[in-house]
Amino acid sequence: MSTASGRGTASLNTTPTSDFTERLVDGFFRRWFLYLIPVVLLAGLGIDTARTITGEYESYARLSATTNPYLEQPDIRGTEIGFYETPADGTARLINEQLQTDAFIDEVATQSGLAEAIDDGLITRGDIRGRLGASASGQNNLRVNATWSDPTTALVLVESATNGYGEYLTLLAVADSQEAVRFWTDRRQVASNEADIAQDALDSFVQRLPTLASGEERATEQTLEIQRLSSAFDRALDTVREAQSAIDEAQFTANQAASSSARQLVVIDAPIMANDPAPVRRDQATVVAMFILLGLAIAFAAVLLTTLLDRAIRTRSQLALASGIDVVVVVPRVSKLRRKRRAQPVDLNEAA
Amino acid sequence: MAYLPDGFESGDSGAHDRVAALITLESLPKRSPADSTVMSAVRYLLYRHEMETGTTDLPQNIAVVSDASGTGVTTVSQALSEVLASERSSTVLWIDATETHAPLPSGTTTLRTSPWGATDAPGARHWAGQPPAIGAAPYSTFARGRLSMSNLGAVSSQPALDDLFKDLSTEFRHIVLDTPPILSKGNSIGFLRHADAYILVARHGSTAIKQIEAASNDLRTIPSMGAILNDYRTRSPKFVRRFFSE
Repeated sequence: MSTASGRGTASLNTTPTSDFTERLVDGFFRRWFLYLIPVVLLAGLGIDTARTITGEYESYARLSATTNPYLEQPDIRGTEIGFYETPADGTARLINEQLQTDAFIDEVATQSGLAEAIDDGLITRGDIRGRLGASASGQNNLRVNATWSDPTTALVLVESATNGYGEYLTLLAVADSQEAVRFWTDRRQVASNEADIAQDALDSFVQRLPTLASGEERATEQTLEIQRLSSAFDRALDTVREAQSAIDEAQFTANQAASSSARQLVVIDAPIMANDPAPVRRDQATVVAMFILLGLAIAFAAVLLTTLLDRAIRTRSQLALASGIDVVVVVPRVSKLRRKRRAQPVDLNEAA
Repeated sequence: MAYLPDGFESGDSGAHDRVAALITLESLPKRSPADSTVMSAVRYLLYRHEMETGTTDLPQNIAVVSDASGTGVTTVSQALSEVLASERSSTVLWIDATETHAPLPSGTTTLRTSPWGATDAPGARHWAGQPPAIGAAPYSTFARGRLSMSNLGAVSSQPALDDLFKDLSTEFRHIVLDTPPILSKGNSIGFLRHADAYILVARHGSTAIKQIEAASNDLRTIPSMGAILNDYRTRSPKFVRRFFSE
């Protein structure tokens, strides 16, 4: 027997929270075998699922994201490293961002020989994304790794991703210079045409002039016209030369940018083909643990729901609150007495 | 044949006649000794009441009530009677106003003469002038006979019942009322007007919160001596229960 007493509800030594927790715990232990059913079932399902996990081959390349401080680095748009992240973190993030694009994945798939499988619907781009990724491995190094059911594909995936990202960097680096080359090439063509026209005009004008006798001088108008045409021809030639110079400079810049961008990602450890599949025990344990956690969550939700829906008096404080009576005595069940009563039926005559 | 109190003759008129007709001890089976835990609970409530009122003068008519049947009202009321009779040296009458639990012997009276059956069970004794005991019980018992519950309202409104309680009050120091469930049998509310205090009994895991609230609302005019949460059972291990108050 235990008791609670006091004046009013505030005098009880239990809070609504602890009272609910007590009912929650008691509710669980009252039907623990029912609440363990989802845990056991999902654990079994998790074990069954974990058994289907097969080991995959893993290949990886270790790259360096450091740059030479003595060399001027190209400013490649879209590849900026945030102040809050290390070079390895930033580069890994950029590679993973590229892996989210279909164009990059298609390029990787093409280089890996998986494009046909994608077209045939045997695998999806998501399968490649799920098995290919980059992660920082220290402050300056990062790791690009791929897993696949066969070692060759895993190896090729890493190579393709690494090369593809390098090409992407080069493409970005030379993009401005190539635009300049295209611009100046057009200018050079226009200027060249103008030079041809000016030369034709000059030649035509000169041919139309009469032959001068000895000691005779050309008319001033003719001389001025020849000078004007010659000047136009010279300007056109200057423009052609200027355009050619700009083209040469842009091409040099592009080559320099391509070279610099290549230096931004240096392969430290080239990917190699895995001999054995990766151990799967960790993955299997993770799957089983996740299923068990799901079962526990379902069991907890069931306990919570049944406790919330249970409107019966289960604690002393519940009775005190509902009745407004301060003094509450708890009389525990005495199983021995109950059994004894059931075993000994009442005989009226004997009792009398 | 109905038992009559000593000193009274059959045919007397007035209240004493009615009492004589009504107070007929029925042979109630003493099923088992009162549970020690229940007696401890009752004892604690009596002590608490004495502490709070500052006097040992306990209420004369104590009703043991519950919202529904099967909560242990009879057990608690019997334990209360036993504690009062054996430990307080009081003359106690335990009145079973609930449904009849056992088949009664023949010889019951009619409602017109008695709301309760006047039985002539072997071994039964009346309270007047005799050791008020049936079996091992040290207190007198008074049980309803073959009165249907539907007629309980009529009984509770009988003027004879008022006279009966008046007379019983002069003879017994305490009257313990084992009342029917006040929610399922609303007639017991009328019966409870003779109670000076009540003890509320609820059954763990069975009594609903709403029922307790409704019952407490019906009993708000009667002083309470406390509540008993009966048949409490928890499956929580002991090391878990330590974290909670109970």
